[in-house]
Amino acid sequence: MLEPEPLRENDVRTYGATRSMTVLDRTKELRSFRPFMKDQFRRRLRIKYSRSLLGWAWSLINPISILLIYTLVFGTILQGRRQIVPNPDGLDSFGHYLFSAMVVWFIFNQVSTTALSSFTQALGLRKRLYFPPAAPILAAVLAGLVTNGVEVLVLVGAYLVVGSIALSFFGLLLVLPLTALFGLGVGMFLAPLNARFRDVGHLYSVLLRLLFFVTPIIYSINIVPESYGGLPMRKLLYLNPLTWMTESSRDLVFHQQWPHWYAWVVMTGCSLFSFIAGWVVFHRLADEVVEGF
Amino acid sequence: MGNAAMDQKLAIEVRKVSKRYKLGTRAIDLRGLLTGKKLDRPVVDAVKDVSFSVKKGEVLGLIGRNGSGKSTLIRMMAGIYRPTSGEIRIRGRTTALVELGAGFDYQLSGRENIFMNASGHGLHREEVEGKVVGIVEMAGIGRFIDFPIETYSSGMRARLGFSVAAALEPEVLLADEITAVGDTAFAEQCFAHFDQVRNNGTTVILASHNLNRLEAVADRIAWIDEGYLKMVGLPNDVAAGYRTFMSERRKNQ
Repeated sequence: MLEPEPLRENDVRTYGATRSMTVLDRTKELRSFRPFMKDQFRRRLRIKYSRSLLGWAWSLINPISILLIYTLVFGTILQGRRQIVPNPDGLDSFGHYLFSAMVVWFIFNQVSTTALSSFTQALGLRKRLYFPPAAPILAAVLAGLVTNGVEVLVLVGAYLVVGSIALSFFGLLLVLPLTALFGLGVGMFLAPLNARFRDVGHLYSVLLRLLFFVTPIIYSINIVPESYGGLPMRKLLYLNPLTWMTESSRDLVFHQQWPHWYAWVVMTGCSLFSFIAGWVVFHRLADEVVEGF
Repeated sequence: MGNAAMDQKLAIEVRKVSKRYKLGTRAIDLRGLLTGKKLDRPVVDAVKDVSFSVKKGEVLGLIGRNGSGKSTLIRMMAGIYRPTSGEIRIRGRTTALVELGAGFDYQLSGRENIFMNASGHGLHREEVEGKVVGIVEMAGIGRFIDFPIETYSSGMRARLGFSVAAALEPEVLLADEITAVGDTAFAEQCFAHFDQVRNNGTTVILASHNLNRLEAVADRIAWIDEGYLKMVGLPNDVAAGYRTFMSERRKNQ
């Protein structure tokens, strides 16, 4: 019998522990799974508001209702409006002030939570169909960003109706993607841990609640005392990368001014670090998690 | 065998592949994390040092008792699990039928599941649309195609899964126990299909308990026992060995 021609490197896939794929290979592999991601993306969007009468109207109703409630509670009842220095248009509406920073929170919240949960949701399918572990996360996060897009449109609408859209408003095109990247890194870091210990997801939702209040969103950072009980409170707030993002967003949208250059450096640095660290850690752990139960 | 003799290219190479599953509950893991001690988790060696190769266009049957490691081997060839040691090389577009029909999303309609399944194999929606009619016809599920999969019988799910896999026209088809679900007509259809695609140069790996059927359709049979490759060779030889082994085991019990 003839000796069969051995398999060459270029036209075969190799699965092995000895030459298991690097993070870079895994990233390149995503390209050939674009149809899969597209399909997951479509289904996410379709399922989101299926079996509901109002459907996509909910992605308008949700942010608007949150803004109305917070404006009522924090702006009117707790008199938060007094903190606000009117913007160049003379605008001092708490709703506008709130929304200018809240839009960052909406994105961070959505992206990190979706990334965290979508990996766990995809595990069942992954046991029967091969796809790169990051594929379902990217599809789910992108589908979630569509909802966030609606929120940004509401923001634009709110400033068109009352107030105005300054040139600085377009700075959001930088701040919001950086926020999404930051959230994606956090979510991907936590995703394999959550698949192993579901406690991670529960703990994260508690931490998110805390994070919301240690980020200057419903209040102005100016009402935070410089020092309190010997602690430099305001500086401490700036240890939170989200503070830089909400403050920049508020500057751009409400105060109509560009953030300091070092704010851009900090935001870019935090986002890139979060994304790269999250991406690498995720790929290191993902394979083991898929088989780990 | 005519085609296989002409085309001596290998489609699959399995080299010294082992798979060790680490078991253990999450609680043990968590305690290990807290104390910093690495607790010994119980392990299962599902596949042990298995090597074989499959030529392009060949049909290889896999037999073995339940828990012998057949499914693990097929999942590793599909890339779903990775070997603990050794390596597997595969040439060509590969489709795996693992737990037939269970790879579906039960909330979605049959049609949506076709698109999802095909997308996982790199096919765009537009490319699949033309194939849907053929898939529905082959699966024989008619108007059920637009109902959620949860309303299907297990046989219908199996037929749909098989039809999708067939429509993807893979170069390597990995099938795990697919004839276990469904009626005899379905099993006939499956084996007829394997016989047909083999002539087009499709390589088929077929795990099944239906030894008689395997003998008829396979070019060779590999027998896995307790993770080891016990025997690989011509269908009649391996089947005879397996039958003897099984009847002796029954006597000893």
